[in-house]
Amino acid sequence: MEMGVDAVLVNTAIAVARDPAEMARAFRDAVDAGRRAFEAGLAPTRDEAEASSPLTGFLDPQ
Amino acid sequence: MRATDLDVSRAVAKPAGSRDLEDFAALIGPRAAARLEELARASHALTLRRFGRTVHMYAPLYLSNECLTTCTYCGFAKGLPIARKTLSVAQSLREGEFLRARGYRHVLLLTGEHQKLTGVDFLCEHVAALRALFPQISLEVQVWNEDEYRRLAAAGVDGVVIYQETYDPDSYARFHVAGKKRDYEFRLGGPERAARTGIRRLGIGALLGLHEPWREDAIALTAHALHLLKVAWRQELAVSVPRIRPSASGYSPEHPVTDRELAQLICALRLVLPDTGIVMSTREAPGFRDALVPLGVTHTSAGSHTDPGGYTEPGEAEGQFEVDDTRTPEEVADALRALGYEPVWKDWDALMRAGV
Repeated sequence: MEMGVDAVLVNTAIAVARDPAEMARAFRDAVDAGRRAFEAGLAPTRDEAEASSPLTGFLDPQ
Repeated sequence: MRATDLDVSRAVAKPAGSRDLEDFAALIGPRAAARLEELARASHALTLRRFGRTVHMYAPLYLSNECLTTCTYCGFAKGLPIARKTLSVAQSLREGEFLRARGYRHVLLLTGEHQKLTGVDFLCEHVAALRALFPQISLEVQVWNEDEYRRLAAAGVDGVVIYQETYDPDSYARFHVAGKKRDYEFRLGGPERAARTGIRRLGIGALLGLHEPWREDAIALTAHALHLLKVAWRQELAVSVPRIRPSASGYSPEHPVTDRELAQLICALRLVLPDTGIVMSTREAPGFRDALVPLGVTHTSAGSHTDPGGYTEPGEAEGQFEVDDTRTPEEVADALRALGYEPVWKDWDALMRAGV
């Protein structure tokens, strides 16, 4: 979706589910969630993990 | 030779247990100082892996402030006009009962250096009495020969703490101007002699604020620790890097070690000595002490008095130095729990020695 697809075609995964209608709703929600996250804008990526609460913050005077 | 950024990166990237003295030098240097948060994260993760969320609690119990040695920075030094006191066995039992009631099961007995008043006989007598209250008894007193350590071990001592104060022989001679403690080599060999008698816990340390630059002492302390891990591998080792505090001696260092430098040193010690305890006493301030626990501190005291008899008869004798953290043991234990750590009051029993 990030690369620019216009549609998602799903057949078997929905067709063979125990409750196909519910599975179809799940796919719709997933596509919807992906689109919303993309529109909202992702956080910047980093090469390494970085704690959002630093261990050495106590050393810096407020 | 100055450590480069690459040296710091290499030291941080190495697996725990394979870092050496050169890595340590890089980790306490100015290049690493600029990457303190990165060091802290590595040190925190390693401490969690090796020690879990635990902090060992111990209490100092000063038996005497009589001293025949002159250390120019110490509040107990010979000749200082202070109120002196040596506890009787009954008095030290009262102090012991006070500490036991507050949860402590590990006491660290301390004295000045007085060959007659606080010799081996004196110590054996007090240890034998206090054994009824405490499964763990450590000593931080003058240094002894092997036979003397054997007697102390037989009396029930299971830990020996000997701070070299400074590892630089010239500075050592300058600060220790008179008394038995002048013998640098005899002091340096103390932990190994104690280990040979089967004493189970060893503590070593450098008093920051004596020798300058302090990084030389930090490197020598780490070299000493790495050596002890080889020759006394059955023992449990802990290191300490106390900063000098105000005392009756009037001594104050020209360039005190800063909070930031001490935090960096704690991280570097942890990264190079992954299984070694790191001790932080009440000489440091409450908030600072709490913040250092996640960085690698594993042993702490609380509610400490540095004057003999100070728990039950305060004000009768001079303390060795001023404590900064005056919280009660319960308050410190609560602060540790709030950080997600478990205060551990007892982790050893004499029964565990059976058959050894």
